[in-house]
Amino acid sequence: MPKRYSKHIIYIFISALFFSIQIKEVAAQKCSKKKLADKDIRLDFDYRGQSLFVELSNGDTTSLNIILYSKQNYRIFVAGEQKLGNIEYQIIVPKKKFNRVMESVQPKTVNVYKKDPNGFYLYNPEGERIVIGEETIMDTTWTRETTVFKEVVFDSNKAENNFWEATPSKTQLITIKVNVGLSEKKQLGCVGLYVGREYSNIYQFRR
Amino acid sequence: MIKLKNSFLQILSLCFLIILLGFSCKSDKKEKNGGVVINSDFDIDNTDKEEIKSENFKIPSPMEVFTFMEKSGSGFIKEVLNDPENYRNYNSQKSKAVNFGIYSADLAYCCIYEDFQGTIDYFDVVKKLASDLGLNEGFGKQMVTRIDNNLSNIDSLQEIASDSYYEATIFLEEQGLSDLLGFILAGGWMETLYLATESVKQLPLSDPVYERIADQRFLLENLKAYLKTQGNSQGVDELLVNLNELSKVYEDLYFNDENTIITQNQFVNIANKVKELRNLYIR
Repeated sequence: MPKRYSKHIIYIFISALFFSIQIKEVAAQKCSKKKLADKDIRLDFDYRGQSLFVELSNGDTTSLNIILYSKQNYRIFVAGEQKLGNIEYQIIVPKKKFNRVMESVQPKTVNVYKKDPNGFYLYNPEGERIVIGEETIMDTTWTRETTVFKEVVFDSNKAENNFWEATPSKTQLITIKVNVGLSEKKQLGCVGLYVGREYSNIYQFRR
Repeated sequence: MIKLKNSFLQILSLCFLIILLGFSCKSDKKEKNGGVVINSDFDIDNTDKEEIKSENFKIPSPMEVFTFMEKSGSGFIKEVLNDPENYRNYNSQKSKAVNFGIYSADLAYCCIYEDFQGTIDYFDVVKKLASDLGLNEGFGKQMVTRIDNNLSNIDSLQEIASDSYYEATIFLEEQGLSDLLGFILAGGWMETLYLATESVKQLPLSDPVYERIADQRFLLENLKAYLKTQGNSQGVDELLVNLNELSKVYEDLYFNDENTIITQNQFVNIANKVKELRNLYIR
């Protein structure tokens, strides 16, 4: 087998692995075959991987939670069939913060060990610390409290561009939230949530 | 030569099988009301007031991590992969599905590092497991024919790969795969993290792969969020319990200062935990 064939096949193999599968209604499958976005907005980004194509009707809202790896260039936008009218979307970055909070304070009896003048424990010939008595201490149990803040980094109603480009300095989880505007006559149509990635360095490798 | 070509055809057809590993997930979940969330988990879906028709979760493919590892110079360590012979030990649907994910990641790893024999070996075992799970009938044969007719044309092959997206979707629906998908995704992700940790054990913390290992906490959150939408089956619950243990280890990273991605101690804890979890599933 010519080496170039095997190399090509390997490349295709790798390429195919980037595709994602949607478990959704059969009707929605046609959406990914529809041309919802022109080359002008797609540019040379690779949209395989985390993009989503769904069938929605006026008034519907959907969301897509994805991960953006650090130091890679991303272009994200939403496009839909014209008959749906106005489609709004927001890109939201949830930020997680931990706080240490006191859970309980309980009295507890503990051993007191012999120490040297510098405060280091002294040990017996068996390598165990030397008990010299007991004392009661107040034992504090701590727990963690998680606070999630959400920051809207893009709002299609306010943005100058109809896409969002970013190169995150740190890997982050983001949510793309889409709302199809209401209309007098309810329509059903395709919406694409395009998540494009650009390659140029080790972090943005091209196979 | 023909035999070798057929082998590659088989491998290529596996691409489409592995698409079953598609790292995306969807749930039909109603949003709750709320403001800032205080929770033990990363509840990214609780703060909006409109009704969400559907909520979708996706994680990047393991291929991104493997390609990153290969490009950054991490060595290929075949000896830590799950032995294909272990295939015989997997009897339940759950263990077959999880190990389908694990073996598929191993296959992808061999493929990225262009280890021909490993690719063939893992292709073989993945094919067996796929058959056991009822996944490999249907679109595969037709796809292989198309590939065969276009073997010398890289562009056509890419088009075929694109088409496989839709065929795989239909295939998954017809096979009712969604209940297994969570296990497959978890197995693939777990193995990816395990291989990443094993690859950098001897390397300094400055190696860029450590950053990708730290990043996996976000993929874990999305994976768990998807699994939580999969009902209350015992298998999913157990998997979630195990993944929560790994989450607890990962939580330490959120306390790091801005300039610290991961400490040696945190890395060791993550590596130990993922190895422990993986060992639960491959034995």
